[in-house]
Amino acid sequence: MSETAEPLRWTVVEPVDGVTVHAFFFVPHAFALLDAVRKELPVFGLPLPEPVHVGGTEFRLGRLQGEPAALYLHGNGYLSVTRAAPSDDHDSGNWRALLQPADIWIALANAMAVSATMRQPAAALLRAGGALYFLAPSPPVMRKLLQALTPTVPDEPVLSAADVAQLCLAGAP
Amino acid sequence: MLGLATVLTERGMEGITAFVPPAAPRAPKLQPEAAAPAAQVPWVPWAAWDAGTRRKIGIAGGALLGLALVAGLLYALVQTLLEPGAPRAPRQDTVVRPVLEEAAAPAAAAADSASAAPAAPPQAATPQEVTTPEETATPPEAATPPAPPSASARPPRSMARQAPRRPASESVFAPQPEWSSQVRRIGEVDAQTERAAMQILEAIHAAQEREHPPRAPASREAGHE
Repeated sequence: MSETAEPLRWTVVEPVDGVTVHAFFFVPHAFALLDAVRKELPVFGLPLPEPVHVGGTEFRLGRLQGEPAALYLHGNGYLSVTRAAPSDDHDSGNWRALLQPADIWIALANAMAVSATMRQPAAALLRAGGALYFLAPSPPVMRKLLQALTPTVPDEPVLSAADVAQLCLAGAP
Repeated sequence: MLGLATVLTERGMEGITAFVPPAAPRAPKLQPEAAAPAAQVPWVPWAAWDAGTRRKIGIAGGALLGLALVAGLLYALVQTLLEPGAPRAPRQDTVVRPVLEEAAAPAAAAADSASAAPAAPPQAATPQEVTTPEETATPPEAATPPAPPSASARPPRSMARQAPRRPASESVFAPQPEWSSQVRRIGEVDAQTERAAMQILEAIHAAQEREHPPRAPASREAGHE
């Protein structure tokens, strides 16, 4: 399957702090009349990912409790979609300034919690105005995330993805 | 497989960067430094204990209270049973003894009658049992035969034994004022006694006829003459 599947047509692919950022920029009004999946994930063609009802599912990994904005079944894994902080529409000219490092860590933490809960691989997607980001972490970034969400003492309080992101940003070199 | 994808295609994801979920930390062992302050505290408030400890202490207290109650009940029961001079023992005697005596009384009476019957032949009993019509007029107190020696020798036992009862050796032919015939109650005696009584009556009748021969034939003879 993977041999015949074509890669997605990303607008930009650049590394940012150990994370390979795949960005797809679009004009939101161009997808206004399309269905919800196409408006949410405009880079995907047919077959479209299948929305998964999250309900009251708790996505836990260590002391992390992830809260993805949406979940889709795509092939052999899940797409974990995280909403970026409100800002102007992203485009190829301003995305480096508008893309927040905290949003990157939050999207990665949510995807890890989804993978651990659903027992399947997951892809970290970050949805912003006019842009869809796919974040591919490097092994050092994964280790840093695992360090941040691993509990050290029993009955440690639950952390949100934003808390884990703050821990990762505080320990960043 | 747990991990994050590094490549997305139209049909799935590839280049999975795997990770291992972190294990839950173990409870730290009790350190001597942490135990020392607890040992120095003389008293720990009840509210400071956890719920499990309080529950265990409550269960243990309830069990001890239950044991104390059971021990008290057993002690009271043993004291009641082993108390000397309790009013329960005499009450048992008064209840049981008359019942035993009542059960033994018919057997003793039967034994007395069985032993007296063969010793006294029917002929020997005739002077007492058979009475003449003259004796019928005698007062009942004078004609009442004396009580058997066995009954007089026995001490009075209880109220049950003192109930009115005809002695076994008392003759059914004892003169009674209300009786109009000596054989009124002859059906109550056995056949042997009845036959003996009839023989005696016939003998008495024959003797009276011998002593006082009938005069009717003589008058008839005189009339003929």
